[in-house]
Amino acid sequence: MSADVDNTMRNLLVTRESRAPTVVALLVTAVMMGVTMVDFVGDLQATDAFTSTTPDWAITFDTQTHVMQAVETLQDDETKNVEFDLTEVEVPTGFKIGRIDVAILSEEQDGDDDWNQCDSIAGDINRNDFTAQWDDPSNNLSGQDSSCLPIELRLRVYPGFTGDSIAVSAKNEFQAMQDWTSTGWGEGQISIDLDLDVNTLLGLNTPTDTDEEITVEVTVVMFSASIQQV
Amino acid sequence: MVEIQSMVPIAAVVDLVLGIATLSILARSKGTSTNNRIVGCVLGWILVFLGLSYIMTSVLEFRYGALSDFSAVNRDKVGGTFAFTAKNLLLSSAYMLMVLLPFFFPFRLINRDWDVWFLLGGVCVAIAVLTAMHLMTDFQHFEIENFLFIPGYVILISMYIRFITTEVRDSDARLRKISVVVGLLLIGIHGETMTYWLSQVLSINDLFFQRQSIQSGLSISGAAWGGINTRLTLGATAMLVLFAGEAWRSLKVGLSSFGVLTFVMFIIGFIAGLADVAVLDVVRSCYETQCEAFPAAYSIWYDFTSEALVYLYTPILFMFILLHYDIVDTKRDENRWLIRIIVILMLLIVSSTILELIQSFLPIPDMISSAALAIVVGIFIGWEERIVNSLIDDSESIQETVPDFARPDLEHQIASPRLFNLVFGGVTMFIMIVSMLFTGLGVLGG
Repeated sequence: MSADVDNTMRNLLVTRESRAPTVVALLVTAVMMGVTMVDFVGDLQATDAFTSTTPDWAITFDTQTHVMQAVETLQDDETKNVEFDLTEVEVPTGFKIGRIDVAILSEEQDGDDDWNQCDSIAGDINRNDFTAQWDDPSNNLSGQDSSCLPIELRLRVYPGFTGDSIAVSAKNEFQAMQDWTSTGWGEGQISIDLDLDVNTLLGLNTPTDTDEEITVEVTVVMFSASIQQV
Repeated sequence: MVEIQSMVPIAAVVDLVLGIATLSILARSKGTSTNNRIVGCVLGWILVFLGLSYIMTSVLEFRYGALSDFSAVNRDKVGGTFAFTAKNLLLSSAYMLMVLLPFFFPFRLINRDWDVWFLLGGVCVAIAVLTAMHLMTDFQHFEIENFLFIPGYVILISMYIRFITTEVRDSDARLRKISVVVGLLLIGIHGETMTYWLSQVLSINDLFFQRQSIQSGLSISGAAWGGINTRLTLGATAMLVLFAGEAWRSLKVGLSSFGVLTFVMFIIGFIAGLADVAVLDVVRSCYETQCEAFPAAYSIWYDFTSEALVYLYTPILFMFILLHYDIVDTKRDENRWLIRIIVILMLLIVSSTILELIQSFLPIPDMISSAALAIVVGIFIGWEERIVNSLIDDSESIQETVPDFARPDLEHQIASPRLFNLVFGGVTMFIMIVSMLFTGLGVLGG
């Protein structure tokens, strides 16, 4: 390009008055580009790490229990309903209700039926509007015993809670913990039906047994999840 | 959540109509100067490439439902499709023409025999290189072409400051026309990023792109992020320079309509920056927790400012440049009717779109919006002649306005609309074929 053309082009772009503001404008552009580029590159690295890797997380559960008890005397062939209001349970901060364990205990608890005197007891957790995993396969909602052993029932309240540690893959801590932050589970009343069928020995000197004192023990298992990157 | 309708199909129609009309008027005007022919063809083809790209975006939106925040395309859904590939390559082509436009308008800076070949060859080579790179890297480096905007930016900023200072110093009102057209070109090229100026000054735009990358499953390179940041910075500083220049000129000479436009954009950018700061928690949610949606008010604000600027006002702005700077021959009677149709058509399309947008979030009954549209139509028909005449009558080419600055017009027989149409039409065909081929090969979007 000739010097003449060069000068004409320069004349169209810069004059003595415009030189200083033009240089300032271009300098500001360069500085801003440099500063923001540092931010962009930093975020690029973070984003790249975020999108390209899915770390594994170990979730462990710290558990606490709360026991509620009711003692009922049932006559032979009687069915009785017992209710436990879980709103009365004080759930510590950060904890959620994970499971309900129910133990139904009769007076004779030696497991020994030498005299063939163990009564036949049945217990059912009634399905109601208590918020829980009613259809979970691990539930045991009905039980029956006639050998002086406790009846153990179980209802899973929080979805997926077993109490065992688990490993998950997730982009970040929040997403890994997301399954363990939902609320609303374990609200309402647990309703249990008890049924008694007394066994009495036939004979002259045998004691007559027409009723039974049954203890219902409800253990509310509460958990708090904690997380650690593997 | 308010459902705002997309402006992309409207933008496609508006850009294509204006682009094809410009090329058609140029082809019919035999007496147009070489420089105006070149600039007209470049502007016309920018609009055609943008229009075609928006058509592809509309396909992605309506067929695949792939449009996410800020009109970004969710690559998870459409990576490797024909429409996605063609959209990006067409957009690259429009960018290449925008990159070279400042070398030819308002002044033909190089003004040598070979500069037309430089323009045509430069665009073809750049498109070939970019196409090859994007296809081979699965668009990981898309937006790297933004670095090429730097020379044009330096030219436009220098020219704006040079002419506004000389105008004020010499009280030469003729020079205002140059600083205005340079300012309009800056808005046409960097308009959207200008509305993000405060966010760029505060350096928070990176967080928005981080969100977008996570949300749309983008795996982009450092070079691409650098390109995005370059475009944002050029827009932000262009806005600051225009604001400072117009504020200074308003003090010295008085307020002008371009000054008002600049101040409005500056204020929009300021409010947008504050809004961006306000939604930072939502922006960061994708990275820190889980993606949360933007509040409806924020989306409406974005649609009415940045998006409307890109999709609706930019074509009108190009139309203004084409007519007001006499790039297409507005004086010939046979061109006038076509110009009238285009002006009215574009104003009506944009007005009805704005009305539809308002209706999408304000509970205005259809009867009232129809009446409002009828009023707008009435005004445009009644004042059609005045609107068109005000655009055309004051129109004057750069050579006529400032003959002392204009470079001697080199007559190039080769710089004919026919050649430009052949070359850029060929580029369009090339993009379509390559997009179809690579989509068929199934090597993209993996």
